[in-house]
Amino acid sequence: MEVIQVTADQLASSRNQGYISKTYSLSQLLWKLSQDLLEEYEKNQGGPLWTPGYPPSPLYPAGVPQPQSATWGNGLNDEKLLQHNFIACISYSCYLQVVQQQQQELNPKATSLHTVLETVIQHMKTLMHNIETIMVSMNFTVPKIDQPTLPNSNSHSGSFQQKLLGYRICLGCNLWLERTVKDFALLASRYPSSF
Amino acid sequence: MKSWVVLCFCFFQTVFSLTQFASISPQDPVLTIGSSLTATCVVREEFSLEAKTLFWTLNGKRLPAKTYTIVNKTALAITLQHLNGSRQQSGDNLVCHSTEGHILAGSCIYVGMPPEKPVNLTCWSRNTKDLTCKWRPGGEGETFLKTKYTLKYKLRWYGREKECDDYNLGDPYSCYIPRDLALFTPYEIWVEASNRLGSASSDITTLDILDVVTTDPPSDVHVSRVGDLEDQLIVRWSSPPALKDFLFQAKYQIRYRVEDSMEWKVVDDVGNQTSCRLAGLKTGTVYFVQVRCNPVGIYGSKKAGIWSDWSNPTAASTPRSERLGDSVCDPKSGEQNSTLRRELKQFFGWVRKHAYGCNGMSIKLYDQWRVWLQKSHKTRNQVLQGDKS
Repeated sequence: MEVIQVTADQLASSRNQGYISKTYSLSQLLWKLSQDLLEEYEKNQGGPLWTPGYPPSPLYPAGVPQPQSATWGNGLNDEKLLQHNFIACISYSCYLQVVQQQQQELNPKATSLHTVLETVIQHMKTLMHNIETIMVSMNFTVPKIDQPTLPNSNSHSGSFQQKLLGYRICLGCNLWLERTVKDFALLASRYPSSF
Repeated sequence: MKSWVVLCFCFFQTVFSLTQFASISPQDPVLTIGSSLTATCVVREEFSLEAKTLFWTLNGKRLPAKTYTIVNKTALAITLQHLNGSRQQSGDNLVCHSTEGHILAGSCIYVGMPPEKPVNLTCWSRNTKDLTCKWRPGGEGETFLKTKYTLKYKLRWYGREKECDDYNLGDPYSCYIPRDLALFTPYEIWVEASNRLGSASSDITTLDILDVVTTDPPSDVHVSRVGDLEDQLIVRWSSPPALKDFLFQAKYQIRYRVEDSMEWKVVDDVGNQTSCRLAGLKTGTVYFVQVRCNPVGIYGSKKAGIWSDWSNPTAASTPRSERLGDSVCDPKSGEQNSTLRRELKQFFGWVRKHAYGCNGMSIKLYDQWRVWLQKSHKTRNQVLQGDKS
């Protein structure tokens, strides 16, 4: 019987490959779902939320560079890449829950919208778990984030502002997920999977 | 797992204040159909936009300039008359634009009617354990505005008002009370409808749980031949298990049909028995049979009770007649043999797949196969009709 010796680093590396590969696939799925969410959201707000040629700006989380900026990708090491994605993932998960609350009040009968929103939120949670697991297994620092208090989202803004905000969040999430797909494609190439 | 970002909400507020080029008042007005509205868009002075350059849209459609009024250098008003019901329950989007089309501010208008009182409130209890109620919205139905329905109930002679909280999401006009219901005492039940323009209550329905009881279909329904009698079958069943000790006065009903027909015949006068003989049937014919139960008189109730669902169909065939005519003894050459052969092949295939534990062939096995065939044809037709829709 042949005995194959594997070091702890090799074992951790192989686990990372599996997680990175899976997370890459998950990010691709999420990106597609976020496009569906954007379409479904716009369809259910009762008319255009923006004029052609003047689209609203996406909502980006504080604490991370914007997804189209040059700071992402080649300029960042793996740890920073993962940390930024982690923070952005948590932020958008939080924002989407607020959108969900708002839409439950504004559009309670929009079943398709609520279904895709819930699906995206659930997958975002999985993405967070995966990114955290990868960071831990690679001995990277996981950013510490305090317990949030989800707001009463209807308290201060008019309905139109809520509709517009939700659109900007969905747009920002879609653009950021496009970024995540590219980042995990890069990580997958740096840690090619043999499984 | 790490927790969430704590400053989500504060961040939202900052973002809002940075992107507000103008403001519209009133915000989110609620109006009845046919009324008028004057809204004003006020541009923030630092943006140097003149009111005369602005325009309005409603749900994306540009509104005519003749409805505008310039209030001052930075404020443009619009008057909308004879408003129709809102196009969507999230409100119609009234938006103020700069001359190039850039959105400066928006307000959602909610136009509808106050609800009418809900109607047709009916309730039933399954085995005296729970209560399900359903109703319909009054008048012409939904009022263009999001309407909330609350089912309320209280014991007529004592007790406090309670609200049902298990609303069936598949049906917006029903609610389910799963437990803690009193028997032998009347309840008052009603539905309250409310939206942003008002509220209305249905008439109060008074009932004792025991008067609106339904139950499960009878169990163990069997149909079999009566010896060699060619025109008879006997149906036997058991009382629904949940109430079997209390169904002294329960009524049963049987319905049956021939295999290739959708026309049911109903036997109404079965009474309280748990078996019944069907007579006057065609010989050599497969019949499908179902039974249902009405728990009338349960716990001494004087009311009619509510029929259960029909039991799953079960089938049997009457014996073929011994008197052979030419048409039976002289099969058309080739034709009947191939039909019979095909049918036998299908039957044996089914036996191999579904009845491998059974000992030997029997007419009962054949009848079970006919039931299965009927169900699978029905399912296939439903799928095909679903594909066509």
